[in-house]
Amino acid sequence: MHEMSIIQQVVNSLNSELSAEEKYQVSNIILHLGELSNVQPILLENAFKAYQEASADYVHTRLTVLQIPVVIHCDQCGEDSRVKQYVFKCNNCGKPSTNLISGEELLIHKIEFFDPFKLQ
Amino acid sequence: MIQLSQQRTSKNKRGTINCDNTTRHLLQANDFVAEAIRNKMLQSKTLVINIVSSAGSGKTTLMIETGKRLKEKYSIKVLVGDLETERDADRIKAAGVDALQIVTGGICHLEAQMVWQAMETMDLTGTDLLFIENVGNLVCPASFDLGEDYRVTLIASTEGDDKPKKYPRMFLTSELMIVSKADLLPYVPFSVEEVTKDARDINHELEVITISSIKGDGIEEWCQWLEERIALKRQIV
Ligand SMILES: Nc1nc2c(ncn2[C@@H]2O[C@H](COP(=O)(O)OP(=O)(O)O)[C@@H](O)[C@H]2O)c(=O)[nH]1
Ligand SMILES: [Mg+2]
Ligand SMILES: [Zn+2]
Repeated sequence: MHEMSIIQQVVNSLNSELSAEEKYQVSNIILHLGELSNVQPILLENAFKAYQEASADYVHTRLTVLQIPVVIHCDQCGEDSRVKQYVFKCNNCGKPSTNLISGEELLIHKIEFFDPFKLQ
Repeated sequence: MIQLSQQRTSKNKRGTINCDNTTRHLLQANDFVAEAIRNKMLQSKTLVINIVSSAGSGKTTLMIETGKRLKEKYSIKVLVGDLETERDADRIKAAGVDALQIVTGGICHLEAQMVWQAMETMDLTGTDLLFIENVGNLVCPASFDLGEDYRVTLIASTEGDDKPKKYPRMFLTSELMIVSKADLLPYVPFSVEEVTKDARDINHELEVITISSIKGDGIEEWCQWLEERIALKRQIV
């Protein structure tokens, strides 16, 4: 799996947006991970720990991984359905659909910072 | 009948979820390059097929058999992803089909950037058909768009018929499932019917062809599937 390279991409994204000063203020990185993303939250969290130890970077930052369910949209009746047991069918009318609303996410959703006053 | 709308467009690329300003799509770089590949292959009217499966399901053997049958009629090239060795490209070249190995150095999937780089060293003018044999793995390659027109998943009769439920995303993102090593079906507990049902629960539009590269069953149907799409790609202006 490529958890380590995903963490590297997260860090690269952050580094390109934040100043050195700001980097130290990051308290929490929130990722959205679709159930179809083929990435295990626990392995990502471990990869992040390994990254922190190896690089001594973002050592005070938490990584929060939120799993996003697989939801499809039905073109026939307009309902959105949560996919269960990997059967991609509308829960309302039964029409098959591969029109994904969510479930493939691999996103940096949000970055949180330490309260600047408490830090001092 | 196949229609133009079945060809991939930038609108239905995989591994991509629209994100607003507060989110950052982590495979953005890959998808950007995949789109560039798609544009380039539209210019040269080259049909691009991404072949995925577990290790040993018969991808290279199928490339060889397909090459033997179609190489007089079409200009075919094969890019082969492998963790460490150049063996597969050599096997394909020995069959008279131009092949180039992409050694990923341990990376478990091909990324669009690797394909782009390989393409730069290859003269693709006049190429009708470009196969990309992905690294043997049904997990990671599912997330990486390589700019292909079609994704084809092989599943061998010897590897058990529970693959679709274990690796749903691969079947969701494929247009065709090939059940390979059909010559071994009498000896193994594998139901083509069951695997087709499970795969179509995930992707109701998935086409299925059963083949044996060794005995030749189904190869005709597969080649016809390809030829229809080569013709279609040529028509796109
Ligand atoms: N019985 C049988 N064996 C096959 C068939 N196709 C491939 N093989 C064998 O399966 C093994 C792996 O094939 P290969 O093409 O290298 O698989 P790849 O790893 O997916 O590229 C080889 O020993 C092939 O000879 C087939 O149709 N029937
Ligand atoms: Mg191979
Ligand atoms: Zn419906």
